[in-house]
Amino acid sequence: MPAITLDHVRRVFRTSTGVIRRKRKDVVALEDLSLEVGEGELFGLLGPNGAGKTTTVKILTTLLIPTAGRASVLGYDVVRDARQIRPRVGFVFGGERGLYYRVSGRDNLEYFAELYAVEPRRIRVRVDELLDLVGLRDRANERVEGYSRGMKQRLHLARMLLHDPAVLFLDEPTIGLDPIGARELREAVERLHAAGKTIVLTTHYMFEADALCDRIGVINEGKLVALGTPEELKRLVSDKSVVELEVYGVGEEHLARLRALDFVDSVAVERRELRELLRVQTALGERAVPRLMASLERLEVGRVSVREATLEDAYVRLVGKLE
Amino acid sequence: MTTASLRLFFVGSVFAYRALFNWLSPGGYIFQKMAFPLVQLAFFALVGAFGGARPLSFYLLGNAMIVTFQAMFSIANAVADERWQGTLPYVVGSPANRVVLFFGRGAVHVFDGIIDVVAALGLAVLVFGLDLSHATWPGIALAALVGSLGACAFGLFIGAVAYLVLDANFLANLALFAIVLLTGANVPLEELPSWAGTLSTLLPLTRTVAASRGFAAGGELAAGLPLLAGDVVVAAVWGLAGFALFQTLETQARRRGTLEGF
Amino acid sequence: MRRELRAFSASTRLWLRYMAVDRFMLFCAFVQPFFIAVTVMYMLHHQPQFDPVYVVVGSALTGIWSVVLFDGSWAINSERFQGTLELLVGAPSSLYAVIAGKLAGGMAFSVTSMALSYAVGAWLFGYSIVVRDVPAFAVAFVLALIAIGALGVLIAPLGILARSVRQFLTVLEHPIYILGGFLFPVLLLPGWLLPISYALPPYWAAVALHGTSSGELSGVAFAEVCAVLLLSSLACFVLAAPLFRLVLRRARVEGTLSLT
Repeated sequence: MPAITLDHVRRVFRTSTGVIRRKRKDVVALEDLSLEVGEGELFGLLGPNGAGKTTTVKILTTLLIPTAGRASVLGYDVVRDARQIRPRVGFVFGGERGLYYRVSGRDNLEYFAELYAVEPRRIRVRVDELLDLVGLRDRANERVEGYSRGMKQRLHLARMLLHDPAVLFLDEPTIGLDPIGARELREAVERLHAAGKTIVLTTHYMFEADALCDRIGVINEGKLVALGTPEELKRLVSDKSVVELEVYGVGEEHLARLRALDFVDSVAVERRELRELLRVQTALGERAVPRLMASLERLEVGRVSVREATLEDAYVRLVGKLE
Repeated sequence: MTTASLRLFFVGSVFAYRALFNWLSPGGYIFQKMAFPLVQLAFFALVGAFGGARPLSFYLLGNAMIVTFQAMFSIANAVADERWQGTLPYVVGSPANRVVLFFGRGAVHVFDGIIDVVAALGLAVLVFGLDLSHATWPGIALAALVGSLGACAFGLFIGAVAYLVLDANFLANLALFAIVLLTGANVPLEELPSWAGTLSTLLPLTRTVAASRGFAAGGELAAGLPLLAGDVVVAAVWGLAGFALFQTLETQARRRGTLEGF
Repeated sequence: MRRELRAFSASTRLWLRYMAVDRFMLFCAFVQPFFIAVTVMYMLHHQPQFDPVYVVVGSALTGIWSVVLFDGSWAINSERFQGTLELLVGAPSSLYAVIAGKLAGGMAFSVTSMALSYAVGAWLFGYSIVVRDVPAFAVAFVLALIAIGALGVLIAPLGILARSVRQFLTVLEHPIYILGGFLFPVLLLPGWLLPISYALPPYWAAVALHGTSSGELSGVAFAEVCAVLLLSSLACFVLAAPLFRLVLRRARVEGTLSLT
């Protein structure tokens, strides 16, 4: 039995704007999502902002009810059996919110240990264990408002693990962390994976997904656009090369012209100071360069390079843009 | 005032209202704005009636003038919200005229205050049977205007202090308690200890309350004018003090980097 | 049940601690009832039968009601603003127990600071505050707190039901001071308002506390008032349960547990 099942899940949000006469608008966060995550698997959910990653996690953690379709965790339905799911899953949302700032880190953990009904005699030991695990033991008695972003994130990680849940959800856990903090967090995730936990990790950092995940699902605009191991996803672009062109002042009309070329699979723009970096995916490799230059007529072109496609390029091709 | 300043003054005021209506629906806002001061008036009038130390009209008029201080809450909260939403650095960073920016926030709420007084007097007459048949109406109208001006000036001061201590609503509540206790609206000034009497003279509403009682009893306009003039001066002092504080704190906040609040 | 009790008491403790380190809350819980008591003291002390304990009890009731109304109508929303509501809902304990515990913490805190406030006030004014029937007052005090707190538990889910409901709730501060007869007898009110007073638990809390502090309420009449307080508490607690379920279900459907 898979640990997690999503079966044609759809989720629509209704928003309203305007002051006097409110206009209602439906926003589709998840179009139609079906996938399965096996027990003990570390599954990466990849996609740009607004793709539906967080919505998926919130549905699976019983915080949102799907508009249509069914979802289950450990065989329990997320709508009907929320009570069975809650003690068995742990979750972390990226960012600094969601802590009681005016009390200490230890107070925060002890409070949630009560809410998760950790055996009273075990609470102290368990909290100390976790404080050690996330490296907050020294600062545990300080108020959370004085914690750095990384410390808050690690406190969230400890909170998630209090009741030793079988399934973990980490929604962009490394967002806003410095490189060292992010690496430590990834190491922690790896250890949890090694300990047999089922983990769903959302991220839009490609290398993070590549390094950690057993399988990756790429979602874009509420739909699953690719599913497979990192290697399988890379194979999507294995016959492709990427031509990178440094240009100055590229406009929409240039991009449209490039995209119209029959040998071009995708074009992405990364804006840098005073210049843009165009990444063109093509099967032609070096032979594409002169023809690309020709269609960028009159535009100043700087450095040009050709390289093999990576997982990131696979992602760019799937979602059509760079983060 | 230049056109740019006039525009800023106007836009700032409208913006304050728009921000409010995004949060509360217009109907709800009016309800809250009117209901709160009116029931507060009713409460103190009833306590006064139970105490029986003074005629009911004493409490009704005093508390009718206090309702103008709803404007103080609106202004103080507008400033606090700015801090809360993190828009303060942008306002401070803008080249806008400081005087206009500061006082523009208060301007619209003068009308709120006056409307509240009208409603309060209506309630006092209709429900509590306040007799205004001999009242000097121009005097009452002036008192409502001066009371509202004072409330706005005081609100600006509270708003400026809120930059310092973070909680405008709390400060405004505290100020309202001081107004309720010390302006003679509920407790005759001569009953207060002398040090409290000194505080009374410094508060913006004290003379307006006294003047309004005179006007309600049919006193001449000329007799009340000096009292009202006194409160205009007091209000001006609070407003200017608020502005001076705003300027100082702005400089300090930039130095200490506390503009973002949290 | 055991799990819910743990969530309740952990929430009470957390909120006590939360407020105790908050200088602003300390000041607030201390100053507001103090000002009301002083103002009312001045307004009532000319009465021939004036008893300072009446003012203390009445203004304490205003303070307790304000805390319960404010905490109650904001209890859930404040968690939402902090980003902790999702964590509470995602936990296996019920939100009902958490919110009830939070309210209990708030009340315990405000009652303590009020007691302090009145001690200072009595000392300043040179009044001695005497409760006539201490055992009955103690019983009435506990029952009154539970009854008003239960109303807060009922208010909490209403507070996130709709914005208009919350707006309406915030305006209820003074009307309950009035209809509850906290600082004057409700008989001063027009007759048509009296049935509303009688339907409100705070009114019975005031009857119980004023009656036992002055010694005028005893025997069967006292037992009856206690029964009313108990029944109203029970009614609020029972009515709150489906409301919590409704509100949570709706928040999960509409996706309003978090701000973003």
